[in-house]
Amino acid sequence: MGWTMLATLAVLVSAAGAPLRQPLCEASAEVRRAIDEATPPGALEADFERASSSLRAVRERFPQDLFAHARYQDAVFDGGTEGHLKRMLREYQQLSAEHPQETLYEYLAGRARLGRGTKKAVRAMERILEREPAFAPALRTLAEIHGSAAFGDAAKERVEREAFAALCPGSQIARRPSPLPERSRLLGGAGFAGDGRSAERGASNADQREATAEEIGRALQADQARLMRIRLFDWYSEETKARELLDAQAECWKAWRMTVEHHRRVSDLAKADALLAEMEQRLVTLQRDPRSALYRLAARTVLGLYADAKDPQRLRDAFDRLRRSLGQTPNPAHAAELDRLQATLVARE
Amino acid sequence: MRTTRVRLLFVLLFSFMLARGALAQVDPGPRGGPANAGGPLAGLSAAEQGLFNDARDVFAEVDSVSGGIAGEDGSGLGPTFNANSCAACHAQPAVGGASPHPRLGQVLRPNPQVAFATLDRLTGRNQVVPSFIRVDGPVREARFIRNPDGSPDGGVHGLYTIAGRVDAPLSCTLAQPDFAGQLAANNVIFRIPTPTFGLGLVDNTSEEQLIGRFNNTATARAAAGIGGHFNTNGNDGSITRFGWKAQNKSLLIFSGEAYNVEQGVTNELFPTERGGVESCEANPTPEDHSHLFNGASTTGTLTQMSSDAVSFANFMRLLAPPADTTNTLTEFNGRALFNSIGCNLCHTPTLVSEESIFTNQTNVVYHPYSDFAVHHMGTRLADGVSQGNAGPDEFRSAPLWGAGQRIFFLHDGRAGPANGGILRAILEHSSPGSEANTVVNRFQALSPGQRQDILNFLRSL
Repeated sequence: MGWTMLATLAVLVSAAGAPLRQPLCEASAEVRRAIDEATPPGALEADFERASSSLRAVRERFPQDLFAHARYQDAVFDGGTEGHLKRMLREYQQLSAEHPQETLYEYLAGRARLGRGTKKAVRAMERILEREPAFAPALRTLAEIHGSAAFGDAAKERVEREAFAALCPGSQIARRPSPLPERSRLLGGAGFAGDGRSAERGASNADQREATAEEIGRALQADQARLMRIRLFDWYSEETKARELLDAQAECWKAWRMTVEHHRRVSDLAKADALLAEMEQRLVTLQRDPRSALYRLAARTVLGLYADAKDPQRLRDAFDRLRRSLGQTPNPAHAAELDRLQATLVARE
Repeated sequence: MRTTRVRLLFVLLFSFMLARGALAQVDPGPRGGPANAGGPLAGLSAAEQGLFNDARDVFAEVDSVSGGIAGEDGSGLGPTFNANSCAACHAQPAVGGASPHPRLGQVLRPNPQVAFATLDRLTGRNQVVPSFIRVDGPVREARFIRNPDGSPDGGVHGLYTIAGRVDAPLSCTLAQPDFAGQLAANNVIFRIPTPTFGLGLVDNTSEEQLIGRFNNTATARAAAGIGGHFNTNGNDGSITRFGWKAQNKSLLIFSGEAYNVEQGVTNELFPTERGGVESCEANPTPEDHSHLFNGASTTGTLTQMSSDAVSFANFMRLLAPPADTTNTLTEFNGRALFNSIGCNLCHTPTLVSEESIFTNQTNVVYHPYSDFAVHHMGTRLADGVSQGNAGPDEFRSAPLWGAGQRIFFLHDGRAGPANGGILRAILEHSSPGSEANTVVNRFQALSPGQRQDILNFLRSL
């Protein structure tokens, strides 16, 4: 018998007023209160280790409460590292093995794979529903999965949603994955346009002009952390991951440019020069990659900063160095870009 | 009268200095001119040269934690690390070599390990450059001799952690090891990068030949008080030949081990993240692996589909040996003396590769100047670390090919431009318990000019 039919059966059984078991729709008030106390708003973002530790304590206080466990799992999904995610999966696999006859732990072990091995999570939920068609959490989880972009299946989702609603009227079904953190406003968040324009856009923004090195670093860190929320999960396609990675790299060039400008603004020229030299080395690395999508942006950024220094000799020297290194791995497109830049920037001088 | 006396004193002093200069031997220093290394083996096919070029690019790839930092496209760095690229440390005189130096040699680059304390780090989150890492010093890894409970350690402890880097997980707070405390407790030893030129030939040399050549010198070695034995693999008993204690079986194992230990990149050979700090583990393991897909396609070049570790090994397999420049009378004389006093008993000049899968690489005669055996090197060089069958004071006879362009010598880089270079390295071979004592005594019994010839010869390798 298919899981869809079982889900329909669950609705019918529920409608007949003969629930198979307590439907497990929402956390009890006591558990909800404990969870809220453990993770006040912003706690997970501020200090994941501390907040997740508090949630583990809630879990230990209510070891058989599904919602205490689920909240901990969601916290790890939203803020954990690869290491935390792995540990969570191990924990729930072990719990399931220690409680072989208990649907609660089987469910939690399956749920621990959300976004990490989502197809396996689906199979785990389906197995549970074959045995217990009215196990509402599994219906809820399946509806979440089939409502996602990556694993979307509108027909299945509708059936699961209806079956869950019948068992748990008024209960909500979460969106998967959780919304990503916004890209940092400081670095523009415009995305990579492939030509350097995105990284140059917003340069007139007052926040960006005034940003300190520390603020820029934090913004870069936040965007790298956002990238981790994408990289580690199968909610996102390989294409999306590649695009986001490129965006993150493009943001680096913008961040470094802003940092050099900051150092110059506060007359810390030694730091500005050191960072610019480091950027030039990275550009040399890109020169060796014939397929580099960021070469143009990088070259414009580095050479633009040399030009901004109003030292024509330094600018010429930089062009000379780049041409020499390009000579070791000739690339007509990169050479043409240098020609274009030289025409523009030297003319500006 | 006073003026005459001053003049006489000056003349005497000048004469003394002149005589001393003529008599004393000095390391000529790293050879200048072209690198004479870093290219592919001679005679490779076009396809093999293409593979070499592709693999060299991977060897030079820079890693960040997740690949999200521009110019650091590789991923998997940390949680602990000594470097972010193979080529950062294997640099002098060309990619594949050894530690660079800011003012000497071909590449003229400072020790890259200094920059890793600040590279990509948040304001106020820089790490400390350990006291044994200097801008003009050797690239080093640090090993602790003992664990806190007194049991043997011997493992590498990364100089830096990813904590504080902009691309580290926000929750990662892993601190650097307490190097100052460990140094104070005399619990730290160092290793420097070994050059990788020509290692494909070594990889492709039969055990029978290594053993045969070793046995051929048994009588002469015994006469010079030299023993030695091969380090061997604990599983199949075969000879291991790479690394300072010849602890690694193959170039592939060497690649996988170094990728994991030096850069913190887990791979198919060493799949376990070191350190076990969940909050700093940023990637699924192994971080480096074979590829089923190349973009959307299931096909690609060998390098596109291979793991980085395999590409590193391919680069080294196809990397030519350094070309010597021995051509002057003093260098030829030095070579003869090198052999006559018995240096060659361990630093065996010549080996021959066996059947090769690569074009024109079968039966290649090459000159590594090593027997690839390990020897007791005495109390002065002993580092207290055992690896495989190599004991606390045993080291592989370091291959001397390319020595002419190396900046630092001995396993921990203790000999370098600041203290006599290659001459210091020779003298350090001698201490109680060293199998090299007799040969070093013979070296010291040579005339200064003869000793200089040997140094000149070594700098021509």
